[in-house]
Amino acid sequence: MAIVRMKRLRILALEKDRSQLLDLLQRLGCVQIESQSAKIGDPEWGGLMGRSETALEETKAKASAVKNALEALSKYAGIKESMVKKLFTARPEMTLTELQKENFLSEMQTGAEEIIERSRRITELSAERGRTEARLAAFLPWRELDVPLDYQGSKVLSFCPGICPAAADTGELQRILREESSAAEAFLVSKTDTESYIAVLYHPGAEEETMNLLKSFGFSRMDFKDVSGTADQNIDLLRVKLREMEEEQEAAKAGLADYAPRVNDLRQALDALTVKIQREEAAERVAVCGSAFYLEGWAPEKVIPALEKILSRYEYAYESHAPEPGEEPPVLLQSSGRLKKMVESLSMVTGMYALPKYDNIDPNPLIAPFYILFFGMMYADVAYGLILAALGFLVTRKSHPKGMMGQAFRLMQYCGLSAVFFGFLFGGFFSDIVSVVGQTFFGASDAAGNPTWVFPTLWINPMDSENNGPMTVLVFSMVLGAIQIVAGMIIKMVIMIRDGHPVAAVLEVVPWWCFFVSIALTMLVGGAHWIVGGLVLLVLTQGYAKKGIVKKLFGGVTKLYDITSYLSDVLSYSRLMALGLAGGVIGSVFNKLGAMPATIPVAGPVIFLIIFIAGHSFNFAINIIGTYVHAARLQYIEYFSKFYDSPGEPFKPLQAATKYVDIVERGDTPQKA
Amino acid sequence: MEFLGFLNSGWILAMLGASLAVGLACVGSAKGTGLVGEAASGLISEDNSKFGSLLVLQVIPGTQGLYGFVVWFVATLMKIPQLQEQSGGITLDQGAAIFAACLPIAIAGMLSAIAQGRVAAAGVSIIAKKPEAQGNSFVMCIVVEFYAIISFLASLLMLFSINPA
Repeated sequence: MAIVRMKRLRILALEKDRSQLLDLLQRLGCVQIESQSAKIGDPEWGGLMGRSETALEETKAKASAVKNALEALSKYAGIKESMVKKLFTARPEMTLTELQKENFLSEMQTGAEEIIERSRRITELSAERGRTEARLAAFLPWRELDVPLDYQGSKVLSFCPGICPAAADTGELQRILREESSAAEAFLVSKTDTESYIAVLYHPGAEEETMNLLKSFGFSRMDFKDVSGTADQNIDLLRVKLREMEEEQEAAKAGLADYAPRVNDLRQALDALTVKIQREEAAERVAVCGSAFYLEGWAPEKVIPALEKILSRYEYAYESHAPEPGEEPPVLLQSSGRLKKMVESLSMVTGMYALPKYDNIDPNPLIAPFYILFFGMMYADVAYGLILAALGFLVTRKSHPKGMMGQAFRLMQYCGLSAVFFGFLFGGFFSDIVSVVGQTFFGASDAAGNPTWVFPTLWINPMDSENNGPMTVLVFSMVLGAIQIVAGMIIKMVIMIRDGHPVAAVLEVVPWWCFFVSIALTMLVGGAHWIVGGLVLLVLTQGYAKKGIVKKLFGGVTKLYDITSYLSDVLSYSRLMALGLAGGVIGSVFNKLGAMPATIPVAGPVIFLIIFIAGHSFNFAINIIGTYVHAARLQYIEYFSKFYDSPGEPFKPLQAATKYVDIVERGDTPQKA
Repeated sequence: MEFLGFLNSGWILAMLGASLAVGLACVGSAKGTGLVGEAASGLISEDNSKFGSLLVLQVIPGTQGLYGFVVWFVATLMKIPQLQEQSGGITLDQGAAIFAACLPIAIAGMLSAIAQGRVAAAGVSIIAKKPEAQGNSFVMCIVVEFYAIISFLASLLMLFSINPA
């Protein structure tokens, strides 16, 4: 249960073995490779070594092609990844060798390109359909005009289609043309909210005067270039074209649907490419010098033998040593023993804050009991807890989620059980559903109107203000808080003693405890001398690190300010009671709401059931978020501030991280070789 | 209390308090969820795969409205009928006490929902740019939630403590 001891690695091996060696390191999954680009950039080193050549860009392009193909399939062939299904189905298992079969990959590459080609055609057709529809819309106003739009007129007749703003008075325009011009006539073809569409016929000799008259009405000529035939003919033509395009698009979509059965293969290919990208990225980080390459990084102490075994197959020069002062090793938290899985699931909580520094302490086992306890107390409901635990158990069992997800679902089980425990203590089962159902449907209440069906409350109901429930739970919360704070101080003391500062450790922590005891004595026994003694002790000891009597005393006085922070720390634990009570009250209000219309025959119970399900689903979900965050916050702010030193750099080994398949070891891994 | 003597009973004060609790808290929640909705729509127009996490962000400032509603429920449908039944009406003192008890969630509920809505709306851009950090955006919203919860609880405990004369 600790921060894993790391060793610094330097390896020099032959360039021709590089890809094989990196492949083996990836399978081992325990070596973090550091980038050498700073060294290559350094003029002193730069002459000796250079960047390695990799196929990273090419692989990334391939991966993005497969990704695009998958996106196209989900868009046009309706293949969606259902979240629920993903949670409850196991991913296929395969070894890295199986995953990375060359011919499978190239086949998938071709498939992906076909899919992309088709989806590109679909997009093109969409754009073209849009353009065609716009053209068609331009012809629509001219539908009534049975003159071909490209009609050029004759020696004695000119034809000119055009538009006026709708505000222009077209009747007036027609009248003026007829009366004032020598030979012109205007016809209103159609009118919309914004424009009037007008066809004008005139004698070529009267062109100028006609145009001048028209201009005063805001008339502008329309040119139908490259158009022949009437508007109606054009419209028909474009409609046929549109239909054809639509059919082609449908056909292309149907064609894409044929690829649907291969979606899992494509996902697998994407995983294979991702694994390759991870390897190529590692390759980018090594330096090449002639026919050799140089790799520098970190590996956990205990995998060094396995690593040496791999290396021994090749020509190499190698050294490993414990971290030197000034070097900041990456942090990997690992637990052992029977509670390993439980403790490691807390990595999720730790990870959201920050990892500890390499020489600090693994916080997972230290927060595990508190986090799970606090979560349970805030979530306190037997039914909710059982559902939560069952959900966590089923998902873990079915789909073996990895990483953060895996930790989350495992943690859910413990937190759920803890909520069940507190649910019994506080008597919560869907809040007070037992009493409400009893009263509403079975008349289970006594003469005073109190329910006779009651879910067993083993300790106290925090909502029962007559029996001082809220106060009792509030005090209990703060007592739990005080315990956690003292635990944090003990841990601080242990760390300081471990690091060789026993005197400082005692001076930092013990006077505070004396002070806390002095407060308790003043309150319980009475007499201000207790608390004054405690204060004096703090002033005398808390400036110990300063030089000179005056500075020491002054430092002690300023440290008195920390009293407020301890006070606010303890008060902060009131949220244990607050969140638990809020969830309980909201649940019970949903129950009572549902019970109101329950007297209506038939419909009543149905409404009750609907409100019950909707209300409790909402309460269940919103409380998970709140409880998760507040339980974590108590660790981060109140607990970690006592001993935790962060942030540490997370250990990022070269490994095969996949999304759609689970990598299993079937004897082809170096560890067992 | 004399200056309120024109009121014959505390009933009207009690009702007023209850309506403020639910009304103001709902105004805050509407404003808060609205802010998030606006911010989220922009992101959804580009990438609707994030709808799930955005929805979670959007409902977070909605809880204050619920707290206000619960306080209203407890006041009008539990406490007031209980007092009326046990002492045949609501005295001016009781009414004023119910009014006062409703104030924490009315004020803090409304303002915290708006403040939380702002945080959540800013969280939308976290989800847009750095989806892996979406957990952190929830955390920052929930920090605001705490103040709504304690005011909710203050209202509730005050309501529960009002006893028949």
